[in-house]
Amino acid sequence: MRIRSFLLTTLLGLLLLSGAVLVTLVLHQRRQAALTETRQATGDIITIALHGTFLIMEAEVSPKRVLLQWNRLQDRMTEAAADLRTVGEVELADAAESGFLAANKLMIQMGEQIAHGNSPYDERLRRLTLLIRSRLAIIAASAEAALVAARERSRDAEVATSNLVIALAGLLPLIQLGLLALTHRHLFPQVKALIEAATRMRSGQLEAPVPVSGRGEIGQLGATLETMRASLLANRDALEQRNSQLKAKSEEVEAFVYAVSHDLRGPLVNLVGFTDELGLSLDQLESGRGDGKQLADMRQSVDFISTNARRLESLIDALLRLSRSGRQDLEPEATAPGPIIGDILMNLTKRNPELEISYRVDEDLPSVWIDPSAAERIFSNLLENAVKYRDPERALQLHIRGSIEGKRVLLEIADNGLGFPESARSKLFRAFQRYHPNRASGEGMGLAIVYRLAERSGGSIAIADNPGGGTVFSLTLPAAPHAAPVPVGSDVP
Amino acid sequence: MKQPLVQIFIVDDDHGHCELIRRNLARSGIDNPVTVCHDATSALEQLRALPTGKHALVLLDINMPGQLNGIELLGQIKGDAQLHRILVVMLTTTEDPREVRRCYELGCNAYITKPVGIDQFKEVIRRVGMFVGVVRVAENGDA
Repeated sequence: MRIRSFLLTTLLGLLLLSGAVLVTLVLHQRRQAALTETRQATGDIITIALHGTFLIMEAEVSPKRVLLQWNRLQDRMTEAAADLRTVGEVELADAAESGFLAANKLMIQMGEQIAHGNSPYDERLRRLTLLIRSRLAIIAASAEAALVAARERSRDAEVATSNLVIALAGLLPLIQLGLLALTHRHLFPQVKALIEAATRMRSGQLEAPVPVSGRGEIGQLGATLETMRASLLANRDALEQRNSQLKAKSEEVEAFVYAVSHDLRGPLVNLVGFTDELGLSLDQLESGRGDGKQLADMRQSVDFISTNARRLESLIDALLRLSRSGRQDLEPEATAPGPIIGDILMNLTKRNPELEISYRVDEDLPSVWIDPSAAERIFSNLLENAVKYRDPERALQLHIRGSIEGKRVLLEIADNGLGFPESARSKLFRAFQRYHPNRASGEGMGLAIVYRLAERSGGSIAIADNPGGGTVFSLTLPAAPHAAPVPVGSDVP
Repeated sequence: MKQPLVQIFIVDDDHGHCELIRRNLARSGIDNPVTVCHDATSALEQLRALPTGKHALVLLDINMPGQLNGIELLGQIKGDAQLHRILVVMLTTTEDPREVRRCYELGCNAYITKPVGIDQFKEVIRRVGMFVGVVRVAENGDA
């Protein structure tokens, strides 16, 4: 849900409340104004009644003036009654008018008495004035009562409105709470689903997506949780992949250490063994038990010691080369393999003038993205191997071809040499592995270096049979940017 | 008539190791005929060429380059109806537990780490010699 919508309803409620208070105030004002009008109207009536009473008291002194005044009073009474009707005091108006009418009749009778020359102190006249005065007193009292009633009505109305406002103010939070529960009841299953999703994530189940619904804060929370889950899952997968890579690497290192220690121990066993042999032969010679055989043995021992010391040296050199191929900083650039291969082949033919080597390098081999020195070492190892392990029964033929496969370049070096059976291929790229040990000297390091350099350059190397005998080494490397496709030669030299 | 002695084969691509083993065998007083092979393929050929009834003991280097390595040769010998009685002692410079287990699974008769010191070497040769002696005694007993 949104906090905003809660605030909005609160604001709306407050507005409503203040509106009600305002209306109350306006009503109060109006009521006060009405009450003032009523007070004036009733006040007029009372004044008129009082005036009439005084007039009657004067009647004994100057009756003619009284009659004249009475007529004016009657006009005022008519006006006051009209005023009363406009403020709603119809009853009072009627009562006042009828009272005054009655008083008027008595007044007329009194006028007739006076016209007949009756003494103002006459008993009948006095009785008439008393009657008129009582009528007028009733009118005044009625007006007074009407005013009091109007005041009370006004106060009651006032109390009622203020009660209404108070009730409204008290009701507002209740209404709001109800509204809240009503508008957000859909949130409860959403929150429950999010808690379930978070619990799943905590226990490592990252596959199921987090249910995301709604647009408010819960929706945002769900979306955040979903992003978190996706990134956790991706990280975990990457980590697992990395772990299995590391495991494979560690197994490779273990095998490598074993191979290295095995191969270094070989010459060492000879060095120690033949040194001891030399000692034994010397002992025999010095003790005078010697014959010609000891000298021959000593000669052989010295030869073995010498050969194995050199072998140990070259093994350690090879190890260093391999180590360098793994540590050396590679600076890849767009590299055309053609010229590099051309130079190597030229050197090879120069160094082996007795050999008949025919080779064909396809024109415009696609450029690859590799450190040129790494490319040089890869190709010289592969091509030197091709010369070393050529078939002695036939002239060596080499064909170097290339093709672009998407963002990668496939470079193939095909020879017609001795070849390798399927069973030997998995081991060939390991250090110190030699398949044709009697064909040429070596430490079994060349293909291990090629493998490592290819891998470090983002590529790979594979080996296959060349139809018609020999081997095809397939080197896959990242293509140089904007490498143009090159038609692949179809004829074999 | 005296039984022909057990033929000892030393199969190791390292010429120096072969010579050291040969000398130590001679020094231990073992006068059995010794054949030295530097690759497993030719060793297998020679084993197959043995006359029927001729007993042999092979001291076999585990790690040899080429078409057939020591473990593969062991498998060929022990899986062959004709050759499986041949005693095979595996030799290695570095003991790898997985490799040792593999060799025993394939049926090798003993497993020896090539010792660096001459005393250790003598101890091993004596064990092999005793082995050879037992075989010779048994054959004499049969006679």
